[in-house]
Amino acid sequence: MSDWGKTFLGALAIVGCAAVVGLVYNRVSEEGIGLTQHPLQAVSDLEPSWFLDTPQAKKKWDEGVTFVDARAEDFYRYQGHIRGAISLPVTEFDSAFPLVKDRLPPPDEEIVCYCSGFGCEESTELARRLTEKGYRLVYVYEGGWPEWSEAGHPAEVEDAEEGEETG
Amino acid sequence: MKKLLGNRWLLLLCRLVLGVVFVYASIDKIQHPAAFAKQVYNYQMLSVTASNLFAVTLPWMELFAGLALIVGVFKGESSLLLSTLLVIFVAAISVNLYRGVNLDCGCFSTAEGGRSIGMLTLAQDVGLLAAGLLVLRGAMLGRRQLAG
Repeated sequence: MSDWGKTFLGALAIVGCAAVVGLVYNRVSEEGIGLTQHPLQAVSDLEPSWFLDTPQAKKKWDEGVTFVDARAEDFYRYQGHIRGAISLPVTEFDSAFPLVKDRLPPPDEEIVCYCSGFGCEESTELARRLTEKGYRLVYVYEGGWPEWSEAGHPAEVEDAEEGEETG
Repeated sequence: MKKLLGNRWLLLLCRLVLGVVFVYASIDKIQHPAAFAKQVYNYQMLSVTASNLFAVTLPWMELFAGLALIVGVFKGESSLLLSTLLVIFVAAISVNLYRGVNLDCGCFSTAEGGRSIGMLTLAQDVGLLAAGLLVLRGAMLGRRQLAG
């Protein structure tokens, strides 16, 4: 066997050893994760929670489920938001929640949280905060505003001067 | 140029830097697999299960290969593995920079709000890749000389 062949097999052996050690360590460690558990769920510790893609979120929207926008209000107003969504900036949750509480559905009905798409933290954090408030059916729409608007689904955007609807 | 690339002190420096960087990078990820799995998933290149598997096994590859380079054993195998990983990292960062997604890099720390991906992280990985390929070249040439 050539030197390169031997080196390649050696590298594969390191990968194999690392995989075995990693899986065993994950099994015995207190910090270990479930391999089929959703990574966002593992960190946000939501229970129960569901993570939606764009078609699933659109289905919920069509069913009349309440959507809550977790971004700062400026983004909600001027960048745009899912039509009918309620603004509840997670960074101001304690002050904003009492103001929108009456517009939220009862705790046993569904709510979908979203923010600026993959990589944004606000929607999972908002879902966690709502769960703490007793809402048990909180979904997180992972694609959030970018994917919703790209898909051309119903949206609203407020001009600095006046409100405007799109979609 | 060939003489410079084959300089034993340069190769030693590249090997040690690469080893130390990857051992350091592995520790936080091994300690916080859930946070690292989330960072991997946010790159939007792997499914849920694949992200978890990657997060559980990748840091150990980094640790083993990094330690081997520091100690000076399996230099060819370790540098080949780390160079392959760096090619994957460069591709993943490039794709997400192209998409315009702002992500935690997940390079050295799993803490939220850490370093974001950008041209600097890309340049860092390309630099490490160059070091990895240099070590690999040195190791393969060394083997050929031994065999000869």
